[in-house]
Amino acid sequence: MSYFEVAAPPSSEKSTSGIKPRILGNRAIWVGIFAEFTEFTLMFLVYFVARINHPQDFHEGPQKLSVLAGSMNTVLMVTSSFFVARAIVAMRAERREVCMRWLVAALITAAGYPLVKLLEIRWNVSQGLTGNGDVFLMSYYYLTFNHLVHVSWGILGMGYVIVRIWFGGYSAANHDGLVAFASYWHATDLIWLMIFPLFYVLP
Amino acid sequence: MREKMKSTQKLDLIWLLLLALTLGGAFMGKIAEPGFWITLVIAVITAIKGRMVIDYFMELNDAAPSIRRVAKTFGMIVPLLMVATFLWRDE
Repeated sequence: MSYFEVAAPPSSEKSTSGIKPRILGNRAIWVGIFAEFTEFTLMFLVYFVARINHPQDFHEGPQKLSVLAGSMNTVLMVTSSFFVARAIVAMRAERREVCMRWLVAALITAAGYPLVKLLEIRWNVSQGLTGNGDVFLMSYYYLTFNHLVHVSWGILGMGYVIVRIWFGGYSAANHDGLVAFASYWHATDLIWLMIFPLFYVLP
Repeated sequence: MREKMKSTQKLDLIWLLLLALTLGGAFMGKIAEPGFWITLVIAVITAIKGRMVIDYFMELNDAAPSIRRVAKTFGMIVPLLMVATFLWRDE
């Protein structure tokens, strides 16, 4: 039994009882998440085709990049995602102030991601690692910039749900919008967990 | 209440495991020689981390089957391609 079942309102959100399959948040966000998965799957396919055709560039690539920056951004994404998960648990228990605190912590952590990215790119450029480099660097910039755009949408969404909570917009009984945002944010975290080993770890 | 405490503790544990696997995987990738086994280990770590996010952060075990299957498939694409492209390259 997952923690969700324990903490959720008993009537509307259970599905293991066989009443109906659950759509977490709302249908619209899942259309967006499916589109996001499709977009990144295509980019991953391009990455692997390039990797097969340019093995030397991809073997040397991770040694050029800052594994510290990549690891820091992974820690920031995972931690921000964890804070959002805790915020959802708090909201289900009708603890709005606690929920707000977790979300503010998630926002601060998430804001660290573009900051680290900026520092990383400045370091890259100082090392001569630009988008005009080899095919590894081109795919690195293309994929990670795309992910940064998705993180930016997520940060805006996080700001929006924080404002809504501030004005009493969600409750334990009705917080689909908050769950929809959380689903998007976790999906963006999941994508980063796929990107990180491809560019910073896999030798 | 006791059940809920357990659930938040589970989230805490998953978060710590994700951090440990991230840092451990990065360290191994740095020190290991390129080869099949390190590729396999990194692929398995990536798959486990993805599944943890899907099961515990996204809570998709209890979601509509279409959503659950798409997310779980997505979480397996990169790990499988890591191993497949290594084998392909070796041929």
